[in-house]
Amino acid sequence: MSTDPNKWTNTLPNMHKEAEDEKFNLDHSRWTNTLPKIKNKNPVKKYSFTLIIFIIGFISISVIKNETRELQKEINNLQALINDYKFSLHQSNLDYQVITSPENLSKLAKLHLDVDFSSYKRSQIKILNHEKFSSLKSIERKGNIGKEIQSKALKNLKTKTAKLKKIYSNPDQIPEEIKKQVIKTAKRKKIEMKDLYSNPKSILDSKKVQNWAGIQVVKAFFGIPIIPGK
Amino acid sequence: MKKKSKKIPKNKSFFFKDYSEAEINFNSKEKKQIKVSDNRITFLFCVFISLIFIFTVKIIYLSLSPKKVFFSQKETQFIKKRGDIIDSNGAIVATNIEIYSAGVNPKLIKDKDKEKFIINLRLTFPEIDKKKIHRNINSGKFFYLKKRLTEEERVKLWLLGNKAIIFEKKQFRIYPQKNLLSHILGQIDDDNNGISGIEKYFDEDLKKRGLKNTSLKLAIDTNLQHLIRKELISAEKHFKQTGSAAILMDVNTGEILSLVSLPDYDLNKRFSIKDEIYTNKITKGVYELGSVFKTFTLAAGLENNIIKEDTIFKNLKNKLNCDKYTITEHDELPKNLSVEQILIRSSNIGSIRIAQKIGLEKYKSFLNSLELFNTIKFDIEEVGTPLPFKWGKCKLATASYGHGISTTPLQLARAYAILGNGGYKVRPSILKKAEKVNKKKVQIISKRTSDKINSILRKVVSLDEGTANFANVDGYEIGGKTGTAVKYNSNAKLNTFVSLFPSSKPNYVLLVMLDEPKSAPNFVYNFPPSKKYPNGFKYKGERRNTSGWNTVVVAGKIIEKIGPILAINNLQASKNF
Repeated sequence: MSTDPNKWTNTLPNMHKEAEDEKFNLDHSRWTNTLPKIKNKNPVKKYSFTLIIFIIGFISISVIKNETRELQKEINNLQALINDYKFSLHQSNLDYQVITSPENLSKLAKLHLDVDFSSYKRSQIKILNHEKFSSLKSIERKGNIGKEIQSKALKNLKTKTAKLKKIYSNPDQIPEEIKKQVIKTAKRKKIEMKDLYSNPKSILDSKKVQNWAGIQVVKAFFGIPIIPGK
Repeated sequence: MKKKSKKIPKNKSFFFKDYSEAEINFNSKEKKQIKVSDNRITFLFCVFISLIFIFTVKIIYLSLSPKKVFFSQKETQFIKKRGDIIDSNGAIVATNIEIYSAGVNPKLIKDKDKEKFIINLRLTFPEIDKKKIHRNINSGKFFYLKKRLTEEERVKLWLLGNKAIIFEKKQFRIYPQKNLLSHILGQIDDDNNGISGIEKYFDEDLKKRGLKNTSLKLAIDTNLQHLIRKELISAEKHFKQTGSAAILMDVNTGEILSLVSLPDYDLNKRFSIKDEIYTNKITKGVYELGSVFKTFTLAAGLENNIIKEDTIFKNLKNKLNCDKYTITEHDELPKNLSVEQILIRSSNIGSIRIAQKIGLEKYKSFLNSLELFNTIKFDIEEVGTPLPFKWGKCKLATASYGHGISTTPLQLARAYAILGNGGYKVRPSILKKAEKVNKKKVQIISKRTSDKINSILRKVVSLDEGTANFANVDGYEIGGKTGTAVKYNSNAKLNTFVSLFPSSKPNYVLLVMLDEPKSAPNFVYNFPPSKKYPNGFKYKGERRNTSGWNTVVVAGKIIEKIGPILAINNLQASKNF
């Protein structure tokens, strides 16, 4: 079968024919401003960031290094101090060992104590029975308290007898003494009576009233007559 | 730089104009190269700027920060070459310290100043040998002027201001307890190597401990050691012995709480000890110890069920001949004695009769089981080997009461520990043993024999007819056996007393030995209360110097002193305390 090359030549639609013609009529000035603009390269801007990072980095490295060095030095100082303390502890421990060696203590005891070493036999220690020891102590305490009371009573008695002795040493003055005492008591009683009549409220204070009221309430609760006899 | 190049076109200068024109004509490769070099310059600029900034900051910081004196760590660090040795209470008995030694380099002294130098030295240290110094200076070689300087001596020498005097810092071993543990600790040389005693036996261990800063703990208690040593020294006043020794051992663990041998020496004053009297009598000394062996004869009989404690031996003679030797009793004793009484009254003839009944082989094997004739394995190298001998009929007879056979006091104490602890084997140790010892106990003697022996030994001390009444200290239930041996080719005696306490369940064995004690007629003996004398009594003018009249007295005093310490440390030391 043979093919006809012109068979389909004019079969395509002619809708955009004009546009296409325009397309091929090139305008050289048409694309002039369409190219992207070259960016304005500013090296200061470009490197300033790196510079800042560098500077900060360097400073921080320097600071950190410095700090660690300082810390290391401080650690060394402290270590040296610890070693120093350890050494002096060792020395003082050694001194202590020498001073407290049994031989030295024995010598010191001989110098400063009456007896170098006194040993107690079991028979001596046996007395220190705990119960016996505690009971002995309590007895001692009781004895002490009793003695104190006795001494006080004795003192009182002594003062009283001294007074009586004084009174009875002069028998002529005894009735006068009694008179004086009676007058004293009569005067005191008179004053008390006067006070009672002049100001009877003074006898009744709030506490007495409260107590009385409380007792009456309790009485009423138990059914006891408030006024006796009624 | 770039900025400048940018500004070039605006500049009307002909030079820059030309340059800009030229630049315009650069091809792309050249432009690239210019760009790279520009970058490098910028980078270097930044680096230098930052460095300047850092240094400025640092300078400001240093100028503001306060001054500090820094120590170097190495200077003050003190690493001991040998570890400390401590006693059971933790008290230091040996330690290393740094001390200066002064040496002289004669090359640094001018000829004309030599005499002046020696005079100055003599003024500072009058004890210095002038001739020796002169000779050393003339030799031109470095020599030590004085080792182990005290701080005062060092300052004195330093104040001489002579550059020929060279100070050397060196580690030295010091012993705060001086003489107290001399026979146990031993010595070291100038290079801190152990040469005797514990220092030698545990040399490597102590060196390792020095690096780790740990200590070697001994079972020895310095307080007990001091009290025992003091009693032995004070005994010299009355009994005039040439030497003495004592050992206190825990019968269950074998730990040695005290080991004293007199005379002793100050470990801080190092000198070579060649005299025989400085021998460690407990470990190195081999002695014929006498009647203390009778206990073994009795134990052998009881163990082999040949005798009982109440078996009576009748018609015991006062004399017995064996070959050309005559064996006698020490005192007049009853003719019929029970086994118990043979030991209580320390009958020689009775012991021979028991040994004869046991027989040579059984007796021999019993003594061998107690390892009395081997060289003992111990924590120090100074250990004696018992003298070898041939067994025979006569040897059996003499051995039964402790004559003709020898051993070390350490082995004797161990044998008594075995008899006292229920028959279990123990290994004596100067070191503190770990609390949990998983080793299985090996029983050599039956518990029954051990109990019987303990009760008979108690009677030796508690009964009036016993030979060790002076050791009957109230509250400690002491049991023991005396031993008096006459030295070969001499009338001098070697007296021993081995005690076990408390007898009902022994915890400790104490052996006291006096070498050549004399009778003490001026010594007042205090007899303890007994059935016959309930209040006890005092006695003076005794002429005998057997063990019962000296060693027992010393042992009694020792127990009286150490008893409270043992009772406090170990509540079981005294049953009723």
